[in-house]
Amino acid sequence: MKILKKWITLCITGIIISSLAGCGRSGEINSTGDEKENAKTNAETLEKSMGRYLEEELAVPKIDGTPNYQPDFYMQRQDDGKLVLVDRFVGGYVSEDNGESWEKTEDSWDYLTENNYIMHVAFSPEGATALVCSPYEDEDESELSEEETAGNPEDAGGDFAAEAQNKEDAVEEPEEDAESAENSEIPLPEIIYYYIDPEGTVTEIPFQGSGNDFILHFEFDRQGRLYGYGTDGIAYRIDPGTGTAKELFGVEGTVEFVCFTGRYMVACTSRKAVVVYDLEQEITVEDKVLQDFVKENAGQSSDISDDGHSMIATEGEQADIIYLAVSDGLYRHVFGGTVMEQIIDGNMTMLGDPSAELLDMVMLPDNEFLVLYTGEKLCKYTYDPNVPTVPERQLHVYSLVENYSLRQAVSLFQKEHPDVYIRYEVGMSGEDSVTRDDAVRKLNTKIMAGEGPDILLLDGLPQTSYEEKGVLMDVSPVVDGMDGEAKLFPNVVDACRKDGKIYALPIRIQIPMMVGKKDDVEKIRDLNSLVDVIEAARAENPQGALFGLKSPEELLYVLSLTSSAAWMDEKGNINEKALEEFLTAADRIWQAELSGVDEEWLESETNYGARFSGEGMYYATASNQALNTVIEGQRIGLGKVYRIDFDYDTITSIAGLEDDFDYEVWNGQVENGFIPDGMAGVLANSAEDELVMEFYRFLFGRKLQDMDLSGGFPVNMASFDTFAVNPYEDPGMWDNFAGGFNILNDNGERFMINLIWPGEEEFGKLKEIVSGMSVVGRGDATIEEMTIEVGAEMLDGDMTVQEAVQEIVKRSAIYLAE
Amino acid sequence: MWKTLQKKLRKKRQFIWRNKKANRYTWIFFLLPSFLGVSVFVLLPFLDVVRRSFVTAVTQEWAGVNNYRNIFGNQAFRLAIHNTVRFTVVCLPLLIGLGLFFALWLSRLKKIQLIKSLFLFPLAMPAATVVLIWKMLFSRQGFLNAGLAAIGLLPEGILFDHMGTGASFWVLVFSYVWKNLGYTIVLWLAGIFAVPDSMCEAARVDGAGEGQVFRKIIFPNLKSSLYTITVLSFLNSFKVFREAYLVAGSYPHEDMYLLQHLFNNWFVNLELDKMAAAAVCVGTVLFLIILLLQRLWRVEEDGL
Repeated sequence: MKILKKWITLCITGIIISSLAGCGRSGEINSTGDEKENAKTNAETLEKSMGRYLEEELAVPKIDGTPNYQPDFYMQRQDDGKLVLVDRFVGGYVSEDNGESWEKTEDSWDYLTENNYIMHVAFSPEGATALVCSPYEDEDESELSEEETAGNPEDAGGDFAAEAQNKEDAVEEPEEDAESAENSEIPLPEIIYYYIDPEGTVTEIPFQGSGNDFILHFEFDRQGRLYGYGTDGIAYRIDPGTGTAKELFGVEGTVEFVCFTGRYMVACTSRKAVVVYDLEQEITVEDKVLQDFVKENAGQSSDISDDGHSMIATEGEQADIIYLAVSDGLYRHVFGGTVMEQIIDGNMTMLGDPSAELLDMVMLPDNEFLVLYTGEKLCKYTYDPNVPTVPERQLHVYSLVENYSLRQAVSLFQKEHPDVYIRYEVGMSGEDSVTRDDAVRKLNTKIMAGEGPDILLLDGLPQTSYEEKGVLMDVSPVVDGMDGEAKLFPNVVDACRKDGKIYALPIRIQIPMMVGKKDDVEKIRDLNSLVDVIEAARAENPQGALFGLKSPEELLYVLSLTSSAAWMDEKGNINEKALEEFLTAADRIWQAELSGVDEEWLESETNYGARFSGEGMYYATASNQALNTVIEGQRIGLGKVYRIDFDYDTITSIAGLEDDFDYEVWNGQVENGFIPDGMAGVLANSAEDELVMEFYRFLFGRKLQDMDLSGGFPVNMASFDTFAVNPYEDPGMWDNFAGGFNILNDNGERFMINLIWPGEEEFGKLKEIVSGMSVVGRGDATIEEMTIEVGAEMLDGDMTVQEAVQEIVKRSAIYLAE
Repeated sequence: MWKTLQKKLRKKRQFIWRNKKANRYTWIFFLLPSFLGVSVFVLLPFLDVVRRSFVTAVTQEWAGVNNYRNIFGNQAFRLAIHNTVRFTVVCLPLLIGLGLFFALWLSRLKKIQLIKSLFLFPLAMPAATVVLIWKMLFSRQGFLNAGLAAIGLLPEGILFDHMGTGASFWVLVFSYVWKNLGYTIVLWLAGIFAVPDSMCEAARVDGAGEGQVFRKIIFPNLKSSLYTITVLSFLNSFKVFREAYLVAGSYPHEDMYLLQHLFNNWFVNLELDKMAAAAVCVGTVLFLIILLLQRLWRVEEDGL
């Protein structure tokens, strides 16, 4: 028995010791058990890891045609090894040297373009073509009328003016239009499908969809069989001769992108899902790893979109291998396998560039890849075993939520510095259950451990605490040294200065603006005058929406845009008087609004901006409010202006068309306040790092600031001036044409608004406003959140203004006391 | 021969002495692994916290007792301490008393073993589920308001968010007691069943009433259980923060604002110096309380 106990003890001891031995660096244990191999593996691991794909930008064929048109190319490898690049309008190009050079081909469908609008074109590996077309109607609706192309801005606005003046006529439109308008449907054009065989013979594919559904796009597999993907989400195999279609599978949304391997069809949908269809067995198969990957990495898109994709794929070296490209990188997957192997890191290539959407991809011999992006960019990826897998020089940047401007900056900087690796960490991805507090605690832990980021965006972070604790570096010497092309708006810089020091600067800024009738805009100078105008307007118009905001929270949010900074005094205490003034104004506006609308309106979704708002998010753009004044009869609108394209130009275009419409900067309780986006700071620990400072200067340099980013206007003065020039200049269109809206409201009225890029006067006004901004309009985020929460209860009638103020003071007392 | 014998004795003495010396230090080797673990994961971090309580948060410059001075002058800290002490003083006796009451009652049932596992059910319920129930019961549109309105205790049209009033403290107490009562009952039952039946029977035969049996026989034998239940309940009282945080966030009603809220917020705002000072103070107080309890128990046991 004693011997048995001894043996048991020895065995247990041995197990414990061997389990501890597992806690070593990777590579130290080699499953082959060969000593020499172990030593070699150890040496390899200990040496720097080498080899990665390098990106090379190739020339895309120069397109003759409309200068502002961006081709929506589709790329394919033919059976003869040639590469084909096809766009439905500009035609086809072929390359015999793997994308290094391209030659124009004769397009077999050229003659069809005379009478048909080409919606989609697909090529087979043997050279057959399938098209989705819509024949032009007799009145040339798809082409611009003579007046519209004459370059006459007044006539350009004529459609809108006619619609606006003849609103009554618009309401009395013919019955069928009224019906379709009631169903909120735009009448569908006729759709015809064509098949052109490799010899050039054109036949119509007699395929009929069900109801209003039609084929969105065709694809051919490697064997030349034709597939169609409908608006109803159904995938068909179609016989082009007879038009008979076999339903293969259905998806939610639509099939956005399709890739064929020798055996499988991989269909990515617009709803972040993927279907794998076995072409041999003619069944869908489950690949959980692939499905989870797509769900996590693909972006949701609209069901019918001409733009790029968030995910593309190409067949691999074998029938059961596929390569997928997403913004994170390029991944290899074996069907049925358990791994998605990343072979290219998106952070170091254009894959991670948020401005470049993916169009198509092919795999070349020698495991090289060609990836096609929007903006006519074509990149080749070649493996180089002699470069480090991860560049030696590294930079760590952080933001609490994904910031487009920072993401763009990372991509651009990475491209210019291939020897630098920038790790962009996002605290709250939105895909998991991480709360703000969780993310900030994790960040703080890293900062205290000395592993914090080099540069961080302070939006949503406790900036004041970081400043007081010495976490952030004073960047004023760097910022004050920026002049010439790098000069920033001095008023913006000074607004961020505290006791002579600058700890953070916004990468972009947004402007609060009010829009509405001329008289009203003239009278509104602050919050109190806004209330007076609204109440007077209600007295004039007992019925109808005045302000157009659908919820108490949205109203409070919009009003707080340039008011919340006034709610704290210099000592850091709550300014009760300012808070009471704010809540009283909000209450009076809300009561005035409610007195003229009914419950149904409150619950409806006629507000254009509300359609796109998520919970807790308020669209609150001045341009949408401006559209509402025209379309919905709203009296006054408040919101942010953050770019010119389809934002400020909407406001100026409406001002140019409507006599009784004006816009001005919105001053709440804070005068000349701007809304910062992306407050960038440098950690004090990284102050000595020249690379960090180079990236920080890059954030405010011309290259990034010149870009039209969604975060707001540039703070670089020279970059701001570049937006005076219309990027859509097109000799074929009238001067400064910049796009348009075609909107059908719930009452069946259609509004077509052609946008004109702001002229010298309008742009000058905007620049004057930006140059006059002197204060950060938004105050403490926690106080703002409490005010909106309690204020909403007040507006719901649960408490009076004074009670609401006391409640906010009580709730914030703990926060301020901490 | 005498010399041989002496030599043997000397060798034996040396052997015994070496063994004794070895035996004197053997205990270290048995203790070392646990001690290392506790040191690395508990003692050293605590010492680091003590160090941090005397320096600034990030720059680590010497601050002396400034951090302690700051926290004792901090209104939020005083409020959190007040609420936490109040919560403990209210909940602990309530939980222990109710637990003992139900345990005594249940101990008379015959088939108690079958339903024992059900007592642990509330403890196993996830915090998020409890929070959902709270909201269903205590929010403005909750069942409590509906019930009060139905019996006419609530004026028409007036709806309270009970989590946003002083009643939130009692909601917290209710949640804590509900969650831990079953566990406490199980522990009491274990103690009660450990009391020999023969002693109770003998006392009853001698004419003792049930109250006397409880006071003189059962309760004295439950003191070790009382100590365990008190310490465990005290530690569990800190876990009620999860529900409070999920319902009301980082800045709840002032009656619900506990020490953990304060520590959580200080961590988020990088006020690590204040946090360290407060942690040292709280840790010291808890340590002293547990020592005191231990001493009291030991005095009573010695007295017995």
